[in-house]
Amino acid sequence: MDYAIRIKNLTKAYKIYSSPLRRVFDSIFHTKGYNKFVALDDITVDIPKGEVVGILGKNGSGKSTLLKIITGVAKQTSGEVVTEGKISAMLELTSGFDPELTGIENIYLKALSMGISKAEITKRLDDIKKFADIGDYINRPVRTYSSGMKSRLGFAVSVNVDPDILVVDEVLAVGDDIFRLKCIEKMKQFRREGKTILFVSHSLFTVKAFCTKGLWINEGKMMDYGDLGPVVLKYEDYLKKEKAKLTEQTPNEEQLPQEKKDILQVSKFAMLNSGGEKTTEFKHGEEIKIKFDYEVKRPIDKLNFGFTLRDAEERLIFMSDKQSPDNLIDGTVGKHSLEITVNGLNLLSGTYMLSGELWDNESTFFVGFSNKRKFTVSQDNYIGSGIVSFPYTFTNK
Amino acid sequence: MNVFKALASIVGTNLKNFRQSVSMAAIELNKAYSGSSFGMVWAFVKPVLFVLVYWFGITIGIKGGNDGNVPYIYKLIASILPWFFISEAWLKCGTSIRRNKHLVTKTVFPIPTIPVFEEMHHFLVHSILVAVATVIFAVSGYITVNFVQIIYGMICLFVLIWAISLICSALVVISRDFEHLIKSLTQVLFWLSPILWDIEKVKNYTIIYYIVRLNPVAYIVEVYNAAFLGNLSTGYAWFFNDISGTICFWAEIIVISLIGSYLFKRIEPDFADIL
Repeated sequence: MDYAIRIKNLTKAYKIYSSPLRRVFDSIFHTKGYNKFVALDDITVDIPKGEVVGILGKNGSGKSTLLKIITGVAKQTSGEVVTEGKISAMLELTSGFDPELTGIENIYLKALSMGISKAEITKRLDDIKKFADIGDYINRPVRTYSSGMKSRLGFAVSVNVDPDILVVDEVLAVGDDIFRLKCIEKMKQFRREGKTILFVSHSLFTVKAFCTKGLWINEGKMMDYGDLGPVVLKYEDYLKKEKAKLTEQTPNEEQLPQEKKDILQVSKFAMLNSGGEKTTEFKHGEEIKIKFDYEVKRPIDKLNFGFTLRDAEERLIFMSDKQSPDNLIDGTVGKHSLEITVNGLNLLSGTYMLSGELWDNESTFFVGFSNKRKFTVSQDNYIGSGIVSFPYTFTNK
Repeated sequence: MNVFKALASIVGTNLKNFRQSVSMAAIELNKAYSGSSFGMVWAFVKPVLFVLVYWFGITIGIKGGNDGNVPYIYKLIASILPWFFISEAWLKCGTSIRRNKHLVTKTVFPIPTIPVFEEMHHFLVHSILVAVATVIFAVSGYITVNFVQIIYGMICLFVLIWAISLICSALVVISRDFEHLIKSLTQVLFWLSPILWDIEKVKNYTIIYYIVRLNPVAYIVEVYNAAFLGNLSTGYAWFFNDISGTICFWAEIIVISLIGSYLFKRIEPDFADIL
């Protein structure tokens, strides 16, 4: 197999000095007067060419450090990183721009600092201008730009240098939706061209939409690496657990009215089979009941419910209309209960996920009653393969 | 790490990326004077004002200066010319890595070239100042064959600041204390160097005389004087007439650059972490 990046036993420890002068002393003499902070701990992973790897992890888990070491900006403490091909790092889009210089001059400046010769940039100048799409502003000083325009220019330069490996760290958070779309589009083009992309984003949504592999780092340790779906599942599971821990640690001393459960609370969620038993295992063709209680503490005008069915790889099978006035439920103060019946479950055998939420049509306030809850469907006799079955008839003459 | 290896590695990196450094220096120059209508003119206003002020203060204010074979103003220009470069470039090169931290933390950039392109940009301004001074001296009839050694003087100047900035730029990354130290030391060095006063005047105080002679800035001032004034200079007419001074200067350069390279290479891996 052809690998773009091979990482072996990578460890990075930052030296934390109590005083800068201690560091000077250490630099001159071979002493070690620092405390260690391990940012990455023994990471081993091989990334094949052409993959789009989403790097997952909380803030401060070591994602950016890993990217910095891969791009060669920072040096590892021990271990080995082998990369193949030209790397273009987008660790920050607008750094290095001089506010007094014009857009064109800044293109040269940024390209030069990335080690690209002037002649080569002149060749690509038109592409860059076209991608940045900021019109006449290109000849004005960068200080007159909006932050979105700056990002656009920065992205245009980074992306138009024809890299083999593109490293993108959390840069799409800036800019408007159209720009973001354009960036994703460009990265998709890279993906088609078989280039390798490393991608960090706090938006799990973008990662899910775009990446093929997932790499989950937690507190410097590699938790999981593999196809995106399962990794994201584990990561989300972990996030939930963390959240639960956090709420346990801070018992409800004085509840803030902003908390969701002070407005709406869901309890006693259950999935029932046709016999009325609580279960997560269903038979093909059986009916499923989704039942839970909810307590409204402040009146909600237009309370809606919605639910979503997904398959094991998180592909959407069905999402109910969240805006539908037919799905309005009782939003007056008090305890209520809701039972949703899905008749005739024509899913084929496999694992599926149910998500659902109650939400206020006007303020977009929502409370989930189920988050990717797994359930299985089994069937007694084979009737075909896929996700769903359809009743069919035929005539034969 | 071996000190010689460190020096070789830094010099090697700089030679390899020479073209990039030139382009960066050009952009730096552009940056420095962009956003102002007079642009490069400001690069000359400051030195001209300084020369006039010192000339006024010393010859008219304290009635000093005029005791050589040339009017004091010429001696002043020849001596202060290298100092303008030193005072600007020392601080700017010393703080260059810290100021260009995006190059260290956001891109893969040959770090040893950062102080160099910064210095190149100042050196270009210096070269233009030297050209202007040459015209003034030529019109006044002072330019002789001795002028060719200005090239040597400029090389000395460039190498001196390069060697010092190796130490300073690395240390300033670690702590800004060193930036303040440079600022303070610049003033001290100015008055300890024979720029406004003539080195011959301290010849009677043997110890002070030799200490001043050890100062590499004094050596460069001497070379500039010899280049512009030739036989009329109070010191030597040719730099190679001053054998001990020349040997001493280059020995200092070697020691400084070796220490600097060693320190630089030791701290360089941590640059990205610190900044």
